[in-house]
This record gives sequence, structure tokens and C-alpha cells, in this order.
Amino acid sequence: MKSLDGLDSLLDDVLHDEQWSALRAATHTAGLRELTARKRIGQNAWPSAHHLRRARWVTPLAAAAVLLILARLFFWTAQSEPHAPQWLVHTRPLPAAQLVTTADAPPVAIVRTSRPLGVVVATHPSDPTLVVVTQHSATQLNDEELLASFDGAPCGVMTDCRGRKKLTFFDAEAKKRFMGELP
Amino acid sequence: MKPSSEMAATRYAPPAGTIRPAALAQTPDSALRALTSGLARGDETAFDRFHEVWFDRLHRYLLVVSGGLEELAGDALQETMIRLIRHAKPFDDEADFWNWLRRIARSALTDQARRWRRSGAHIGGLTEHTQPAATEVTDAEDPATEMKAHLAACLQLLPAEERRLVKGKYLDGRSYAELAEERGISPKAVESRLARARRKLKVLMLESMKS
Repeated sequence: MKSLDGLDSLLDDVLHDEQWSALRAATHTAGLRELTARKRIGQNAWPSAHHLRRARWVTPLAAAAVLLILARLFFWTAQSEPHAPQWLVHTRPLPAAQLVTTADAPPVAIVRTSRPLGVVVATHPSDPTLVVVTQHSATQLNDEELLASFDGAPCGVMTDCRGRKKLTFFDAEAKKRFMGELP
Repeated sequence: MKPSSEMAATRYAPPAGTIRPAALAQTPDSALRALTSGLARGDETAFDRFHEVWFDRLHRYLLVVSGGLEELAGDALQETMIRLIRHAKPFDDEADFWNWLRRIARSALTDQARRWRRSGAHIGGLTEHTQPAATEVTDAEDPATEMKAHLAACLQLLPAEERRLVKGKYLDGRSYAELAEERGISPKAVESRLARARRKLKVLMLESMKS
């Protein structure tokens, strides 16, 4: 038992050097500093009457400002949706000789739109309502602008669950022809 | 500073095996309650008392779980003291309090180790020792016991004369004068040799904990 106590005592003396003393002092100081800081926070946690009066105005104002910013962001995002005719970039006339459907991907539809479009892939020089639309381009069209027809069959634009617009055929055969599955 | 009457009434002392055996005393739950309540209130006297009593135990615990990385253990200890003040709450049971302290200390150590790794400092020591120690902390309920085991092993690694001197002083309980007379040197010289031996022992012990 005596040697066990001796080992305890030795362990104490081995550990208790200058570094130990410095660490002991540093941790004590750090603790006290934290205590003081927390007291200051504690005192400040109780606002004065002036603070409360100000807070009554500040909180609703801040909330209103946040709401305004959010609303502005929302409308700005909504306006940025591709309703504006941003798809004019591909405009070029179709070959005068014929309206050509290509077999290349992406699939191409020749559709007649309800009004002249600046078109997606190509327009017929003599009839601006006769246009070539790829499926990809169709995603950029407005519903009302593309109540159109393909090869005499009505087609339109549907919006899928993810908000993407897709060229949709109301007639299954027209769709198959569009996809190249029927002659 | 607001002195606590509770603290004055009951001075808290930790249980056996935590600090110097001479300071040991049976802990009444009420004293622990008073100490921890004082800490929760932000009482400086309570913190002084806590620091006085628990510093060694926490220090040893962190030394053990950090794998003998003294500097890292020191940083973690400081952080532990700060967290203790932030999150102190009353405890009635000694074991519960120690478990809570260990949890705080361990999390502080892990955070410090992460900070060290991020800053790239002491990278050698960290990759070799601290990372596993800080993340897979072994159960060091009584760090003093584990450290004593390392110490006893390292004692055997000292040169024979130094080992005899240390054993004579600490294990056989002989005085400086007796040891000095045996060797035909002054007691001051014995003190110096013992101090050197202790420094060597510390280095050996920390190395042993790392490995």
C-alpha cells in the first residue's frame, strides 16, 4: 500500500512541472474569462424598456423587409421562366422546295402554329406559321402559341410534373409518324 | 463576484483515486450538488473550487485519451473548462458528474484534434497517435491507474542509479538527507538528480502512452 501511495506521489511530481503549472494557470484564467463573458451576456439578455420599445417596431419591420425580398425574388424567378420568346435564336427559313423532316435525332416535327413564330428550328418562307420544331425546342414554347398541328393532326404543349414543356400529340398515329415509327 | 454561502458551508472534495491520496475524502452528495449548482449559476468561487479539485483528474484523463500528446491534451483541457462553464448543470451523483465531464472533455479533445489536423500543425504526431486516440477513445474511467501503470513500466527504463534514487524517495519513503548520506552527496544534489529523473520519467511515460 505504501508503494502504491509512493507511485501516486511520484506520478504527481512527474506531472507537476512548469508546463503543468502554466496549463493550470491558463485554464483557470480561461475559465474565469468565460464566466465574465457569460455574465455580460446574461446582463445584456435582459433588454431595457428602450430596447423593448424599439424591438416592437424593429421586428415587424424586419419581417416585412424579409417578406418583400422573398416576394421580389419569387416574382423575379417567375418572370424569368421561358414565357418570353427567347427561342428566336435558331430562326432560319426552311428550304423553299420542301418541308423536310430529317431522320436525325432529335426528332423533328413540322407543325402549324396558331400564329407566326420566330421559330425554333426553321420557318417556311411563304408561311411563317409552318415551322419545324424539335422536341427540345418545344419545351420553350408557350401553350397558347403552340396549339398547332402536325401533318394535319393536332398537337400541343404539355407541361410535365417537373415543369418541363413537351410536344404532345393528341393523336397516337401522328405521334408515331413524328417519332419515325410509321411512314 | 458573488460568493456562495452554499460553497462556504460545504467544501467539495473528489472521491478516492482522483487526486492526491492525502486530499481524499468521502463526498457528500450535497457538496457536489452545491458545487455544480454554483457552476451552473456562474459562481466564481465554485469554479475556483472545481478547478482546484478536478483539474488533475481531467488533465490525466485527457493525457491518457490523447495518447500522451501533452500539448493537445492541454488545449483540450482549456476548451473543456470553457465548455463546462457554458453548459454546467447541477448533479447529485459523483459518477454521473464524472461521466458528463468525460463526455465534454472527449468532445473537446476530438474538436481540438480536428482543428490541429486542419491547420496541419503537429501533423506527424496526430497521424501517428492522436487521430485514433481522439476518435476511438478507450475507456479511461480512472486515468490515474492507467498512468501509474505506464509510470511503473517506465521506471524500469531509467538508469540503475536514478531508478534506485526514485525508488528510495518515493517507494521506500526515505528523506533527501538519508539518500544524500548514503551517496556521500548533498541533499540539494539529490533533489537535482531526482528532478532530472522525473523529467526523464515524464518523457518516457508520454512516449509509452503514445505507443
